[in-house]
Parts: sequence; structure tokens; C-alpha cells
Amino acid sequence: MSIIRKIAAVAASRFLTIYASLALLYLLLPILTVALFSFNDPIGRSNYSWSSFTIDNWLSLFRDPTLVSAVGISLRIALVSTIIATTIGTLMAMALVRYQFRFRKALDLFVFLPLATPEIVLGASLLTLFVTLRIPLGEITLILAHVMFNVSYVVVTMKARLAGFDMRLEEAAADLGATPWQTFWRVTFPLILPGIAASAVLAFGLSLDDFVITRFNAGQVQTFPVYIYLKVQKGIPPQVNAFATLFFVVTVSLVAIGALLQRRRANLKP
Amino acid sequence: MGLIRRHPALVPLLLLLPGLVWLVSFYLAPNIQMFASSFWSGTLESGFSFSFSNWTNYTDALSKYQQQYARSIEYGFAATLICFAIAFPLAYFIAFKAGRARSALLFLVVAPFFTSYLLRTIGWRTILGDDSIILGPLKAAGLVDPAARFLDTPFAVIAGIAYNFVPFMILPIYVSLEKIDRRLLEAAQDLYATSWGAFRRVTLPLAMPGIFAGSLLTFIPAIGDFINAELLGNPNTTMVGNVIQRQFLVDRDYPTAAALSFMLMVLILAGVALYGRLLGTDELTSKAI
Amino acid sequence: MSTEKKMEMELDRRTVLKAGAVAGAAAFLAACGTSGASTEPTESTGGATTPSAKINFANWTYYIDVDDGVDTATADTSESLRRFQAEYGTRVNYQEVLLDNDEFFGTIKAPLEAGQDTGWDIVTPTTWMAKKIVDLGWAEKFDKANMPNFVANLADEFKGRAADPNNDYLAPWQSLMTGLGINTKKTTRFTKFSGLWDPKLKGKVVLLTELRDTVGLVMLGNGADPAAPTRPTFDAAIATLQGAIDSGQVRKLASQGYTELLISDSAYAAIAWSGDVGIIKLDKPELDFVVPDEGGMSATDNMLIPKGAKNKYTAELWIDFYYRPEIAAVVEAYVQYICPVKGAAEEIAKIDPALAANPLIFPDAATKSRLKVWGDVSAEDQAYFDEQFSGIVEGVGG
Repeated sequence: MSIIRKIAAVAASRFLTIYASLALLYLLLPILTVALFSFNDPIGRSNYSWSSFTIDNWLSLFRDPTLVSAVGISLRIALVSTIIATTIGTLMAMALVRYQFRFRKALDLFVFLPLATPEIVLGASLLTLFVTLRIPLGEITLILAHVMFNVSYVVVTMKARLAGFDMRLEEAAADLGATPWQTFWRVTFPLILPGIAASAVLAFGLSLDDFVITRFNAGQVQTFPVYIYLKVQKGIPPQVNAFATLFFVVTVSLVAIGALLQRRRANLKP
Repeated sequence: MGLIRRHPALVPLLLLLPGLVWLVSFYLAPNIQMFASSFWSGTLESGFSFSFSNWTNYTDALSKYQQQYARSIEYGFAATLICFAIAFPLAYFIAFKAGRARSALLFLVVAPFFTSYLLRTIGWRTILGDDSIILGPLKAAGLVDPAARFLDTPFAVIAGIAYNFVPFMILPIYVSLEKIDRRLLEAAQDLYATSWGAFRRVTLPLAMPGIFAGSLLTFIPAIGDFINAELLGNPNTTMVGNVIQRQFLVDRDYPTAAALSFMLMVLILAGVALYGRLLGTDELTSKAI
Repeated sequence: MSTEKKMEMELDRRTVLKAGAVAGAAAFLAACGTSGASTEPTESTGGATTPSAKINFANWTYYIDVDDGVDTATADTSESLRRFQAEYGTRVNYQEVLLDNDEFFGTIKAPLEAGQDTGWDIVTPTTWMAKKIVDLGWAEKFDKANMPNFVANLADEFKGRAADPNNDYLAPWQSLMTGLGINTKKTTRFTKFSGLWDPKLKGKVVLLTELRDTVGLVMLGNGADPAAPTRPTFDAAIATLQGAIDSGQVRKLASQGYTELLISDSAYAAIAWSGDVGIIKLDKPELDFVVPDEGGMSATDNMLIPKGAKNKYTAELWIDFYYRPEIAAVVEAYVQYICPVKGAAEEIAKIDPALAANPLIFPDAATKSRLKVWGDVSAEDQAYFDEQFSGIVEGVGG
């Protein structure tokens, strides 16, 4: 009986491993396709069908100045909006988790609302606002918009992290004579840093990849996704695939390096 | 500093203030304004005017586009189910079996965000194509009707939506699984004797908040999506998002577009409330992720 | 590129983007009925005789020559734009921003209404939209004294058009034919429009999301005249379309990337634009462009100087520059649509004789005679057409 159970357990575990691998493959398959087609020598202007292998697209990565500028604009907007959203989102999450006050539940719900609103509604309503206020559409309006949708993601992520936070550490610091400011920077901040990093990575990715809200509020600014959309009409140059692959490889490497550093630091501690 | 020391109640307010100002200005205000514009009448050429009697914008839009609403719900529901089927085992694997590779695998789940939504969806066109790596060999082997196709069908749209939003399902489920105390699981194994029993009576109930949050975070963007239906579908797979998009950007019928948007939002919020009721989860937002 | 040059380009871009954005916002405002105080009309520099340092040119994507390997034309990456700068010292701020006539019109409508500069010196709307702008009095009249090449080299078929009888406001940029793109390897070549509805092509047909092209061709197939569309003939065409969609004959309606479906063999036949087929044919020779026996559609995109443009004189210089056959040939060798400039065929033969003989770029008279232009109808009728066609695209009738 117990042997059968053991066999069943092993089989279940094997099955789980295979299933999980397939699920991961499903997640990565389109990215592999995108990467593969960065090495395609396309027929005409349309880079959808495999024709023949070339590395030219990588060698000529910067040949279209408009594409390069679009990539630059996207990175800039993602960076600025991530910094702002992570900062104000973390502050909000701290208030919501650690303080009791009236309307806290209502506020919880309010912060959640942007996540419950379809992107297309967010984009269109913001456009109406900017136009009424005569804020010219461009990078500024995009940053305002990206911070808005990212704040909610940051708050929700940070709240989960802060909920498991041991408040006694701060009390101990205060007992030892640290000012609230010192307590924050020396105790609280290092402890919530992994959470902040996770939120920032998520926010950066969401901003970099946003198309729908951006499409409505970009005016004539071309971000990377908008460039792609404008080109879909007549054919996306393979350099676009090369850039997308590059984004992927760079972020994966950065995160991997970050994880290694963290592990080393953890090992160094007595 | 002195002020804060004298009025400690101000601290949460100060912490909340920047984010709150941002959300009120760039979320609440535009939505109120858009709500108002759903009561406009007129055209872009002649100008618009506001009147409450234009509530008919809602009924007109609903009767014309009820099919698109129904389809959005249907596709969103199907995609959420598929996401769950993919996400739960994967999240379970990462949480309990992945060991040191855990954070690396977790990152791979979010990594698709760092390429491009549009490109990835176009990637599906290549993968699902009529003579693609999937269909091509099957057709060559005579296993599948040569006229069979995935692309530009409801199947492709649902698969595309599921693919694009599955990370939103995986992350919350993973977080809820990871929080479970291992000692509890060991005790459960002893108590219920089979791992299935332990899973059903302990793991699954403890993972419910994550499943709940994940389903919401998947379903919401799924029913508002239009990119997948546009790139992977056909004229009879259009969703509400496609109509809203066209009304805003091509036809520029802003009142109809606004009315359609609001009905979609109300639909989602009603769904969220109902779902919360059914599962008996009051603290809905705190459980998300 | 020198840093200085780069900065200059950046600056140019930013200024223009801002101008464009303001224009767009203002358009929306006017739409909301809260149009702000109008400012004094900007005086256009009508009497100027020195070329300005820059002009702002809004055009469709892939619609001017671009250096090999570059995908977006700018003053640095397009030979014709570079030659203009070399000769006149004017940098053309070339922006590929037109995706849709209506959408673009929305962005320039408000400043024009308020008598303000739109930020553009040249825009290239399709004739029906251009006519609307001219009729509203929102186009600058050409000073033909500045434009000898335009006067001499405008092809005859573009003279005396209803939209602009004296060629005072519109300078054709390119004409395009709408017909059928057929993969002759996957299906037998056909010339009758009804061939599109052959059951053998079930699920392999793609149509355009453009009303004038798709409905125009279907009307011709039905024996109706798209040059004089009426509600009954239009409704009949919509019914044909709906039937073909519901039966699964039509796989997809596409604006973006219908070409992709042809290239990847997802579609064997399509309603297609001549220039696109020409480009794909270079790599996929089995693709043929056919103007159906019943007739095809034709449309022209026209350079137009919006009222109040800051650099009218230089814009005229550019138009005239384009009407030099050797310059038109440079553009044409790349875009492969129908060229409105007399003498371009001879010049293009010097670049590539095969291009000069290409019927897609220089169609014969017989083909031209079978092309129709979507007719002008009352605003109410057109609104009705738009709504019906939107219904098809939105899948409302399905």
C-alpha cells in the first residue's frame, strides 16, 4: 500500500514538473519567436514569416533614428514614472498598513479601483482631462498617466510585503535612542528594500510595455510600443525585434546579477 | 518635525497625500468628467451639449452592442479559467519544488513585460499560423484537415488574452502559497494521511485569497482588452474594447464611447462585488497580490 | 552625425511635437463645445522670397524614399529631402503621422477654425478630405509664380479635378489603385471580382477596413457605381460583405498588416493597394495585382498648405522641387505608387528600366479607364455610410 502511494507521489511530482515546464514554455514561446525573428531577413517589409538567417539586424540596430529615439523616450518615461510611482506608492502603502484611521477601508478600495478599470477607459478619460486643462500631450502627460496606473500596482505589492513586517524592530531602534528618521533609514528601509525593488521592476516593465493608455495620451510622441503600432500597418522592421530581445536579455541579466549580489551578501553575514 | 510630533495623526495623512492627490487628479477627476460626457449629444463637427435626457446614450449603446458585451464576458471568463489551469500548478511548483531557482523562475514569469505586448501578440500570429510549427506538421501528417486553422478565430483570441494576462494570475497565487507555514503542511500530511487530502483541506483553502485576487486581476484586463481581438480575431470576435476604441479614435462619437466605457466599468465593479460576496471575502483589496 | 546636428534635430522635433500636440488638444476642446478664445490669425509669410530654415511636412508612413536599411524618413535619411536641403538650405521636418484622414483632420481642425497655425506647412490628405479642407477655406492658394515645375509637369489627368478645378490648392503626391492581390501559386489567377467569393478561397480572403476601398470594390462587383453611391447600392454592398463574413469566406478585415496575411499565406486573395503588392512582389513573385474586370478604385493623396502655415513660400518650393521629374523618380523608385509627375517615367528608367515598365507605377490607359473614385455625397449620406461600415468592422451585424 505504501509503495503504491510512494509511486503515486513520485508520479505526481514528475507530472507537476513536466506541467510546470510546459507552462513556462508557453510563457516564453512568443518571446523566443520575437528573438528568433530578430535574426530573420524578411520578405519585403513584413517580418512575420521566416525567410532566412542573418545577423544584419543586430549590426544595424541603430540605423533608424526614429526607432532609436522611440526606445530612448520609452526608457526615460519608464524610469521617471517608476521612481515617482514607487516613492509615493510605498508611502501610501505604509500609511494603509501601519496606521488606523477613518476611511482606511474606503481608501483601500479607492487605490484598487484603477486596477479594476479597463485600460482603454483610463486612457480615454485622461485624454479628455488633459485636453480640457490644455495640458499639451507629450512626454509629461505620459509620465502623469504612467505614474497613475503604476501607483496602484506599487501600493498593492508593497502592502503584501509590509503586512509581514516585524514592527518590534522599529520599537527596538527607538528604544535605543534612534530618531524616527534614523529608524526609517537604518531599520525600516533596508528591510522593505526587496519589496521596493520588486515593485519598481514591475512598474518599470508595465510602463515600458504600456500601449493602450499611451496611445491615447502620447500626442505625437512616439514611444517604443507606439512606434511598433505605427509600423504594424506596413511592416515592423526586424530591428524592433532586436531591441525587444535586448530589453529582455538586459532585464533578465540585471535581475540575475541583483539576486547573486544579494545571495553573496547574505553569505558574508555571520 | 515639530508639527508632526505635536499631531501624530498627521503622519498617515502626509504619507498618503502625494499618492492621493495623484489618483484624485488623474484617476477620479477624468472619470467624473467622462461620466459627464456620456450625457452629451451632438457630433464632433457640430459640437456637443450636455443634458440628462441623453441617458438614452446608454440604452442605445447597450442595445446595439449587447453582443460585444456578452462576448467580452465569455472570452474573459474562458481566458481566466485557462489562466488558472496554467498558473496554479506553475505557482505551486515555484513555491514548493523550485528550491533555489525560485526567484529566477518567478522573474521569468514577469519577464514577458519587458519585451513588448504588441510584439508578443504578433509572435502568436507566427506560432498559430496556418502552416506554422504547430499546424504545419499535423497537416503534413494528415492528422488535421488542411483547411483547419487557429488564427483569426475565437480560439486564438482567447488563447492570446490568456497568455497576455497569465502573470497576473501566477503572482498572487504564488504569494499566497509561499506564505503557508511548512509545518502546517507536514502536520496536515500526518493528519489526512494522503497528500491529496492535505492539499484539498489545507493548501487549497489557504491559497484561496491568491486565487481570488489572481482571477480578478486577470478577468478585469481580459474583458477590457481589444488588441488580441484585433490582431488575432475576425470581424465576429469583436469585444467591447474594440468598439470603444473605434468610437473614440475613428468614429469619434465620444458620448457613445463614454457610455460604453462606463457600462464596462460598472459591469466589472458589479462582478468584483458579487465575486467578493460569493467567496465571503470582505478584505478584497488587501488580499490582492 | 555631428552632435550639433543631432541637437538641432532634437530641438526641431520637440518644437513640432509640441505644436502638433497643442493642435490636437485644441481640436478636442472645440469638439467639447468649450472652444477657447481665438487668437489673431497668424499672418502667413505670403510675400517671402527667401527659403525658411525649416518646413514641417506631415505624411503617411512609407511614403517617401528612405535610405537602404532605414525605416523612417527624416531630413537625414531620405535622398530627396537631403537634396532639397542641399539646394535651398531648408531642413524638412518630415513626420510620418498620418494614419487616418479623419483622425488627422481632427488634430488640425480646431486651429484652422480659430485661424491659427496648425504647425504643419504641408499635409497630404486624400482627395475627398482635401476637398473638405479646401471648401472650408482652410487651404492656402498656391502662388504659381513660385512653382514652374508644378505648372509644367502635373499629369493631365489631375488637371481640372472637381476638388480643385484650377489646381490652386492641391498638388497630387501619389495616386494609388485598389484592386485584388492574388497569390497565383495557391489559387488560379482570376480577374472577375466574384472570384473572391469562390468557395475554394473560404477563409483565405482578407478585406481592408477602409470604407471607400472595400465597399467601392464590392459595389463595382455588384454592378453599382461607387462614383455615385446611393443608399440602396450601398446597403446592397454591405449585405454582400456581411454575408461573406458570416459564411466564413472572409477571414479578416484588416487595415494594419493585411500584407502580412498575404506574405504568410494566411490569405490567398485580398483587396489590396497597388504599391503594397508591388513591394511584396519583389520577394514573392507569385503575388499578382489585378484590377477586376468590373473596375477598381483609385485615390490620390495631395500636398496641401494649411491656412496660416508659417512657411508657405518654402512649402511651395518643396512642392515644385518634387515636381522635377528627377526628384519624383527618386521618390517613386521607392514608394511604387502612381506618379503624378510628367517625365518621371523617363527619369525612373535611368534608375531602373524595369520600374519604368512596371504597370503598377505607370498603368496603361485601359487600366486607368477602369478606375473609379468614390463619389461625393451629402454629409448625411456619408455619415450613414460611415455608420453602416463601422457596424461591419465592429461586428455588430454578425
